[in-house]
Amino acid sequence: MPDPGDAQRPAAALGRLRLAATRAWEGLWERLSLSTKLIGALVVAFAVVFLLVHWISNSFEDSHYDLLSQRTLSKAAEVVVESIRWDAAGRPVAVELPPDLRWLPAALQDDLDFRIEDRDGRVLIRSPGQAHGDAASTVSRTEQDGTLFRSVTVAVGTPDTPYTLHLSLTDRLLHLLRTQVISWPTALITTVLGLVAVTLIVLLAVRRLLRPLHDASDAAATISSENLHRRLSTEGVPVEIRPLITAFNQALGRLEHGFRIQQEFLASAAHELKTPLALIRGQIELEHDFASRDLLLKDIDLMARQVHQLLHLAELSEIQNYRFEQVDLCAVALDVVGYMERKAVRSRTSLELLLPDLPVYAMADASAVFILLRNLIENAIDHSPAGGEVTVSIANEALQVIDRGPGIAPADMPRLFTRFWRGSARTYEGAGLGLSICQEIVLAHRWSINVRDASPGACFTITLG
Amino acid sequence: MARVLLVEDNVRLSDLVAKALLRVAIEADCFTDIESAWEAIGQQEYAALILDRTLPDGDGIGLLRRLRDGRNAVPCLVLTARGAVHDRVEGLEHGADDYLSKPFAMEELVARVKALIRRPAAIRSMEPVLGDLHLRPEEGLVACGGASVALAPAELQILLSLMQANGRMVQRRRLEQTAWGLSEAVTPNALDVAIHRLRKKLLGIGSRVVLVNMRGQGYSLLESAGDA
Repeated sequence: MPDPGDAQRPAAALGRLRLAATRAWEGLWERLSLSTKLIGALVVAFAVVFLLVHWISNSFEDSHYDLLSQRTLSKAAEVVVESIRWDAAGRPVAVELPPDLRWLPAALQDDLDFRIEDRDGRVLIRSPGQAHGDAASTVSRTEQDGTLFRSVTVAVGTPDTPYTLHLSLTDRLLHLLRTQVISWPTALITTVLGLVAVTLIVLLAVRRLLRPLHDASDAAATISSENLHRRLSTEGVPVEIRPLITAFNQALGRLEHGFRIQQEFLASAAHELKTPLALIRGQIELEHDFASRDLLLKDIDLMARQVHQLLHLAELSEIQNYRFEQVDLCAVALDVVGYMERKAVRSRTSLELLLPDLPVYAMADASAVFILLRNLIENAIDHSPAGGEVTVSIANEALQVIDRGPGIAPADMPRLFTRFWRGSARTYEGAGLGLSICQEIVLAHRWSINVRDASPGACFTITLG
Repeated sequence: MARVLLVEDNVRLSDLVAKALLRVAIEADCFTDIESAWEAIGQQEYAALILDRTLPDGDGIGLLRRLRDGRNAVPCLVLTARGAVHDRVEGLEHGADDYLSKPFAMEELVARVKALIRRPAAIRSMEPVLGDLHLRPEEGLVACGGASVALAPAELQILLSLMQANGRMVQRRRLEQTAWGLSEAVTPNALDVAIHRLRKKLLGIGSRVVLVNMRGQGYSLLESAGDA
């Protein structure tokens, strides 16, 4: 039994082919530059116009052959009429054709003739050729010896002294005259030259037109999170492109506004949350003795720390808040270790700092790196047993913080950098945000952070670059 | 009795701070906004200024800048709730002598204020020299060649200890003790702030002496190797 799908297969294949072709064409069209598209459109336009003109003129000639012949004939008659010389009595005495045409009647005797007759049919002037045509009608066709003639008769002179001009031309001469008007090679050369000229003009025009856009995109490329206040200039930008630049500037404005709002929000949130904490803390401190005084103070400090970390996390998640410069990571590490020394002493942990002989420079935000190392060291101290040692090492490729604590359970590894996550042991009090903040800082610097179990202890490594 | 100016928009908090200061015989005049504080400073001389940053009529730093522009060098402790990433460095760039983050321990605030208003004259009258640095405790300044810069009392104490150590390392805790007099009251932030300011000031007067952190345990003054 034949598969009913068989019949549909060729159709489906054709459809797929058409789809593929359409896609290929669209892909090509998208890749083309504006200039190429414009020139392409112009080439097509020229070709269409060229063909159209020829088609129209050819078909017009065919259908209006008589009309065209009559026109040419009338035009020739006009020339002859204007060349008639008259005597004082108003009689025609001669036909003096313009110098460039004077040779014509004699040379084309067989194909051209004219005569001027008076009222009675007497011929006063005649061309060198033999008389042809029918004198009776204004425009006529006659055939003599197999040659087709077209004639025209026009009245000349005044009503008192009327004369008639008879002019005859052979059909073959008329045809020759007409076909000489437009020749194929001339038309083709004109078209090609025209196209070349138009292409050059379009190229130059497009380049000139797009220059402001080019300048604007160059300027836009220099705008980063650090100079959001800058705007693109609309000076010299064409009217058509100006709305685009204006819209871009407005978008920048909104971005800057949003950034400022966020900063203001962080500042006021910090103030609103921390001032009451300061108040509560102060009040408890000044009360002399009550049972849970120390516990309350500890809770307040923990809460303050949590608020502080939350704000830092919010701040450090936004790349605009970073200020990158060349920073000596050794100097930062020294400051952090100095800063953490007291906490280490209180936890009976020793802090060891290993530095290379030469400074380690990196494009970094010194304040952020300070927080990064402080959080890692704090974390290491919190997880160290009494008498343990925390090693901080700075090298050209990596920063490391190693502790001798219980290490990290494999199950906990994936959740280590999750916000608000705290280790299952919960032996220390933290906000659970320290490592999330570290991760944000590392990401902003395009560094990487990883942790491995150093059994005993954990080793955090930040790989630079 | 020393008199300080306290600018803090939370009245209850400023009452508490005033009460804590009064216990150590420091009287505080409390104001809730920049303008009234500015007027008060025009009428009375204060030993120190305690300034909150977020005030109803602007950033407290604005008041500090106005004072410094008017060549008023009154020691200033800035209270900040912000605690933003760059505040550790930035908080010191505006002419504040010390800064403290909210919420703070009253004890620490008192220690810091006491350090600020301690008279330089109380320091032994000696004028130590190290490298191109010349400390003049009577005037509260350090000089290098023709340039000199005023030091806050805590900075003066720290620099004095370091110069007396003559290039040897001085432990952080020792520096904290000499500057604030208590071993446990101040947070690491206090020394951090003072060291940062001192480094900037030494650079500012073109000294070749640099303040070096020694293995995270302390500091020493060294003549910079490049120029030696």
